[in-house]
Amino acid sequence: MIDRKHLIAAGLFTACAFVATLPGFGMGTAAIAAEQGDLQAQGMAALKVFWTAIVAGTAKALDPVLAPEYQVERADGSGMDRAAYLKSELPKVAALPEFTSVNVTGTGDLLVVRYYVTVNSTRKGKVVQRHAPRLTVFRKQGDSWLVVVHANFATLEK
Amino acid sequence: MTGRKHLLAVGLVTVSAFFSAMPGLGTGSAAIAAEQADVQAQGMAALQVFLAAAVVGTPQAFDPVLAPEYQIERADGSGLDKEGYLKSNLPKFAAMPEVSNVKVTGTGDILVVRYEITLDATRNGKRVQRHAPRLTVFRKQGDSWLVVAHANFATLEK
Repeated sequence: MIDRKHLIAAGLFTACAFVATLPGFGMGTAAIAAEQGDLQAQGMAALKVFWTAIVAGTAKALDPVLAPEYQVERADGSGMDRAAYLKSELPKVAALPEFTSVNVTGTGDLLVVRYYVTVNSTRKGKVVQRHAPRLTVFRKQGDSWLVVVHANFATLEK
Repeated sequence: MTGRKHLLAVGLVTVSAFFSAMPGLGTGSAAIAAEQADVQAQGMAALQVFLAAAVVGTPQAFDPVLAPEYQIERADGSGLDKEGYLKSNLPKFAAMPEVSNVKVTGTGDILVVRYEITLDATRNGKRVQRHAPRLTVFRKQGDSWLVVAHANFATLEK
């Protein structure tokens, strides 16, 4: 009888030990969720700083948030490096846009943010597609997130 | 007369010092050109490795070249993270595509490559726009360049 109880206890202990080692269980789940939550929050914060500069719409506002290696590419085929972008006719955005379907991945020093923007904007006098995807990559410098790349999939009205 | 010669010599030294200190001149120019050529060469090499994986077109070929934080966004609105991408219907290029208008910027550990691709490819049974821009970000890990983000501006035929 004792042997049977001992066997059951040993079996239960083994099963618990096995389940506890599964990824995403117990404390692991909480830690993973916290890490993902942190990443998502960092991505959203970096995004807001970048778009606040876009809304300001001046080279002076954008200069401190763009990394030296910054490049942009747009759906209309226009692509630029940092120097050309700051000298170009910058887009006019009425207010901070709505961000949806935000997916953030990253390492400690890099953030990749894939998202949709709903915005009222014009570029070179043409209306920018109101709802379209973007892909923005940030890298950490000190306490700031600098924009490395911005891919803008919004088309221009013809 | 000696005083006049001295003044002239001082003037020449000052002018020489001024010009040699200007970026893009003399030795500085050569160093900058060498650095830019090096970044361009590194970008091209990283791109060739990434595109070679697309020619093979299997998860086993893509897995080692994609960073864990990898994300892709395409002009048709489809976006994926690394896990989703490796499980998806991967592109398979018939041969190494023609790459043109390559612009590479970067820091020591990051490369931003903006370029155009000419290729014959299909995705999900639809023909991919033959000539369109791409924007790819790489980060250095050991001796390799991993793909962090890829923006594909090619549309699909309707």
